[in-house]
Amino acid sequence: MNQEPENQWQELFDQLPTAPLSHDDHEQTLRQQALDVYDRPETSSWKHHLKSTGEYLMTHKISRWTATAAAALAAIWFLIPGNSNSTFAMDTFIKVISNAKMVQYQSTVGTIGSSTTTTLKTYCSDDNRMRMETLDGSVITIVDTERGKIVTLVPSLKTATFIDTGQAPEHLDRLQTKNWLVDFRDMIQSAQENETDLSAKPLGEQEIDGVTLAGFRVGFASNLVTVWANPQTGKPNRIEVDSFGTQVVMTDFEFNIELDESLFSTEIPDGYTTKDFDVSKLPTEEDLIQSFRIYSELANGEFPKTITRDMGKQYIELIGQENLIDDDNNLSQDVMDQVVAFQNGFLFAALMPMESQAHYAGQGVSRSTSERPIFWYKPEGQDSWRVLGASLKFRDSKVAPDVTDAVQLNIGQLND
Amino acid sequence: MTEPSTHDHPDLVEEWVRTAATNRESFGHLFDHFYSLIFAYCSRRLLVRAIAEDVTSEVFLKVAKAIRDTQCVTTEDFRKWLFRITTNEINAHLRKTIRRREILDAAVKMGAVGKEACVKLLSHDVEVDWEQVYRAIGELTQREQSIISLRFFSSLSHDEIAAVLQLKSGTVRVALNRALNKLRERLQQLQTDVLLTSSRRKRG
Repeated sequence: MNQEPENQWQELFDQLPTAPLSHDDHEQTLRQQALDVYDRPETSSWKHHLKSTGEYLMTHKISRWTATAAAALAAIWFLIPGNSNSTFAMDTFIKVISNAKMVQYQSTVGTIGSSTTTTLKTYCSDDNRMRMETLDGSVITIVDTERGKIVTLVPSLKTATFIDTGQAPEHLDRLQTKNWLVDFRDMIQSAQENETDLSAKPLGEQEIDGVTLAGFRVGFASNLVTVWANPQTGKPNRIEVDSFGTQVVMTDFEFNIELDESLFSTEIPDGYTTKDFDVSKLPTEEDLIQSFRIYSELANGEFPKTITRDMGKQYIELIGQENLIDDDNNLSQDVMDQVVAFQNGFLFAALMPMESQAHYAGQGVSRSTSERPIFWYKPEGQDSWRVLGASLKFRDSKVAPDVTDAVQLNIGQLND
Repeated sequence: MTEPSTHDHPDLVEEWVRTAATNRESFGHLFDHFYSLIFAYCSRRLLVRAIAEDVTSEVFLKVAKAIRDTQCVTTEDFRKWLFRITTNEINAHLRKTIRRREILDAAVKMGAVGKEACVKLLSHDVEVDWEQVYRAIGELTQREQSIISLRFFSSLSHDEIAAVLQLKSGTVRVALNRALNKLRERLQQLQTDVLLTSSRRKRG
């Protein structure tokens, strides 16, 4: 790589004014405080081992999701020493996880309070690539976090959407660097460093499909993780993660199966129509209003049950597959542009940062109930709320609407 | 950039790293050796002395808690681990909007960047000031900010940055290049805005 630009930037930053020295007593005071902490004996052997386990996992190259799951199990194991009902070979489990180059599992993603779920077959590689596909192969998403690429393919329509996550604004940084599992790993690491926020509950044993499993539940900040694993081998059978109203259930784990590299390729296949999704240009309130308007006009005045990642699919169902084809029997580019614009509007809601506390309450609501709030959020840096009613007009409000069945949205609904 | 005490022989520092988990005095020596390096990095990143002190404190208290379990055997291992903790602490700190504003307020007081450096990097013959530089940095992603800071505020190599952030070296190179391009474009845009404003004022 050409060093010249870096040298020029170094020249610029070399001109930074000299950093001020710390206050006279800061260094000495901190030194004493650090030594006091150094001297403090560990109060619990499990904490000591958890930190060792966590440190081991973080310094060895293993797939990130397995680090989070393993650390969660480590936390539980050492929080309940001597509980023979929930014992399993931890060392064996850690070896299985640490040796994993590839993991395949099935994940079902749903929003709590909604019966709508999406089931995906997921493949994760230890170099931070992931492939998710619907069970029928109708939608395939490939994520290459290191290279900052997300590709979604719809083989039946030969369409592709490409996202360069390197252009993502700050609050979408998790698109670029981590999914919810890596978030979980970071929380584990933070808990390891801070020795805080670890609360675990043993769930005893139960038989699932003829197999006896040991269960644990761990809370990390706003994530609740429930693990059912083979008590002898430590192999996970089922992991449930509840986070901000979204639940992911992972089952059917298989480790280190041989997979073709092409499954993780972000190259667009020949013959596909590609749409680049510009994450640097965020959709606006007006885009969301337009999308709601389009949907309700197609759905006899009703609003969608929920806002999810597959709004484009819902639009296609509403207009009918046959309308995707033009008079020349080709895929209509105009219609595909409408699908993308439609989905784009809903992304305004789906991509809200967590701090915005965005909520959706449009299920079962029609346009005729004009004052009924269907969506609201708190803009960054403001104390007031923006509330969208069924009349499709935004208004400001000092308080959030109090609506039963409202569902809090979060960025996790873009990724599972 | 303040470097650790030069009178500490490298072999001695490595001995401290190896024994710090069980030897209090070694841990104390490591603190003495690395304090100024970490404080200086925090100062350049956060600009407000009191905040840099707070973050430095968090770093070393975490080191003190975790030193017995660290896998570090070389000075280089320890240094990377230290910067990893520091990066995480700084990022946690910067997630608060009010902290970002404090940085920009402090940057205003730092005045302008030297013209020669600006002309080399940017197309216009207009100075930029440090507030604009830190504003532009603040608009990058968290990862890009970390990479730029580690590269230019602490002179870490690409490989060292990769180890600190647990990325591949190639990823760091690509991300750094991308971040610098974004930085340049943003500063050029800010310069253009200044020129336009100045032009309007003259006409007005």
